[in-house]
Amino acid sequence: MHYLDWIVVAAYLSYVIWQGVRLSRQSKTAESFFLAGRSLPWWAVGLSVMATQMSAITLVGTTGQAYTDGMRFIQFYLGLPLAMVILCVTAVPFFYRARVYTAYEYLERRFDARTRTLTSSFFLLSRGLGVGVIIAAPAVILSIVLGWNEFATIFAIGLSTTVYTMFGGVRAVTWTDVKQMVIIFAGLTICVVVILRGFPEGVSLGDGLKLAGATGMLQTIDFRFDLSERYTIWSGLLAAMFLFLAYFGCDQSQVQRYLTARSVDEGRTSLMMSAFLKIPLQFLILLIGVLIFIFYQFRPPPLVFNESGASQAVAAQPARFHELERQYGELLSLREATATRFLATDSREDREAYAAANSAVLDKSQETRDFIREAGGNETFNDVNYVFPVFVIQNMPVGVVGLIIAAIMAAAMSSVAAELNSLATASTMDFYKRHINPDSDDRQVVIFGRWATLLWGVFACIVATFATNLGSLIEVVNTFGSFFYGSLLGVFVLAFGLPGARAVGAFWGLIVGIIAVWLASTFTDVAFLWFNVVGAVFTITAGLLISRFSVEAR
Amino acid sequence: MLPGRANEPTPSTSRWRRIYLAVAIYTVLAIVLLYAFSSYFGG
Repeated sequence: MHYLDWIVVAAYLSYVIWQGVRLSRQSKTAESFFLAGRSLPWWAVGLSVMATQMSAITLVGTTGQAYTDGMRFIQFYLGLPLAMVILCVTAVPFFYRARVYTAYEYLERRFDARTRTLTSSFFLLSRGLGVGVIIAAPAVILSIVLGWNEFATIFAIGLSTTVYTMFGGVRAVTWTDVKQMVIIFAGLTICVVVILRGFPEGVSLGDGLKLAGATGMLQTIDFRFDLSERYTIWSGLLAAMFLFLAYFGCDQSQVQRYLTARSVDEGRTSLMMSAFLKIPLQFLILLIGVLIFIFYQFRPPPLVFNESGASQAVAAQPARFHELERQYGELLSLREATATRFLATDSREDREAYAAANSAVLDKSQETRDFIREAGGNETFNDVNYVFPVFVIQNMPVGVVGLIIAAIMAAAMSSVAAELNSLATASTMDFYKRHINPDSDDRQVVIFGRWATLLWGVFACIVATFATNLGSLIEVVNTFGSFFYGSLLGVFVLAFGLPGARAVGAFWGLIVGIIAVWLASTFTDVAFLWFNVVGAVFTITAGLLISRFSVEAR
Repeated sequence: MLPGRANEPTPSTSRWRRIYLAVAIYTVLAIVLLYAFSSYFGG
């Protein structure tokens, strides 16, 4: 990386740390440290909500996914606006008026202490591990692509985030999120401009999209109703809506964002901001993946983006790899020729010839990945997440590379900061203040909150160092989260919407919901998004039945 | 009464109803536009 890019990245990291330390003077009481004194404007909270949701792996993985698989993933976000409306009617006013610090505190007011403790424990466990993965994923990618030391990258992201979160509390997290979103928007916009300028003379954006359309990459809506298919309009509108209800309505890392708003209406408006902006933003990110695909129609893309992951296979069978490279080069030349002809004639035959040539290129890429997995003994080899960073390093001008690396780090750090802040809040309010030291004063609570932030930050960095080596750990963490989310949503539906639900029903309903999701994941091939529906439905049904039975038994 | 439930409707209720309706229309519009985008470019 050029020294100017280093300066951009270093300036960014220094600024966010300074920002946190500067705001520490305004975070002396529990309400100011954890909830910013409920004083933040809706637009800052709204940007913080979006920044928290967009991790680095969303930014890097989604562009890579669009490059290889097209824009189908956009359907995942179709249920988000509807989920936001439901939360504006239910969760936001209920939490805000109850003046709670954590979502789980509300469950004690509505049900009992053990339901609060159980749900908060699940949150701490799943998020504590999850935040390690959020740090690990971009750290591995940046260390491979840029040649940075992996541990140094993990601790640069993890500890700098911990410092500003620890000193500045939620106020620093939110205002840093705002600036990080500006960096992300700026990075993405410049990226689009540079890619478009890189198109050959005479090839317009419309021409490029015509090429992408011919390969099926612009297929955005799939009307098939197939429970095993991950992304369809139905899984987006229904199953993903349940996921967003659980994430934005029951996960402390998001609930805490809108609890910092000045009023119920400002909290609602912050969620409405996501409702309107999330789909266009995600469309832009996916479009960048497609634009990279178009860019590479007229310049040869690397056979493998993750060269480091392929090195063992190349060393083991160099002749086989070079033969694959040669065949790949020939297929790329054929694809470019058919693309040029299709754009010139716009005929059906040439369109089909181009689509066939592109399929041959994709098949050769797949053959190469299979070869790397087999010959290199690298079963978890992944190329998708390396497309965007490698493209940036190889094709972006000096300075812009630094800005986009800073944007990737900003995406990671904004998510990590919100997670650490919410983990510290739940640890402090649901355990320290509730069980360990109920008589603690404001000063003690803030001190404990700061220490909890530091401990969770160090814990996340340690988990991240293991997650880089154990591919399956990432899967375990994600699966654990999906087991829990729908069931937690079910408990909150019982709390907000069903006055007949009782504490015993909520507690055991949650357990039944988690068991139901485990059974669904073990004995069916239902796609994971539907686990949220299964968990919620079983928790609500069991919760109601147990509540009713326990009333009759009394 | 449930914790956090408002005692009476707030003055801004009707404004919020219009906003929620706008979100529902927006979602339908997003689907239509995405479908049109795919169809136009031959997806």
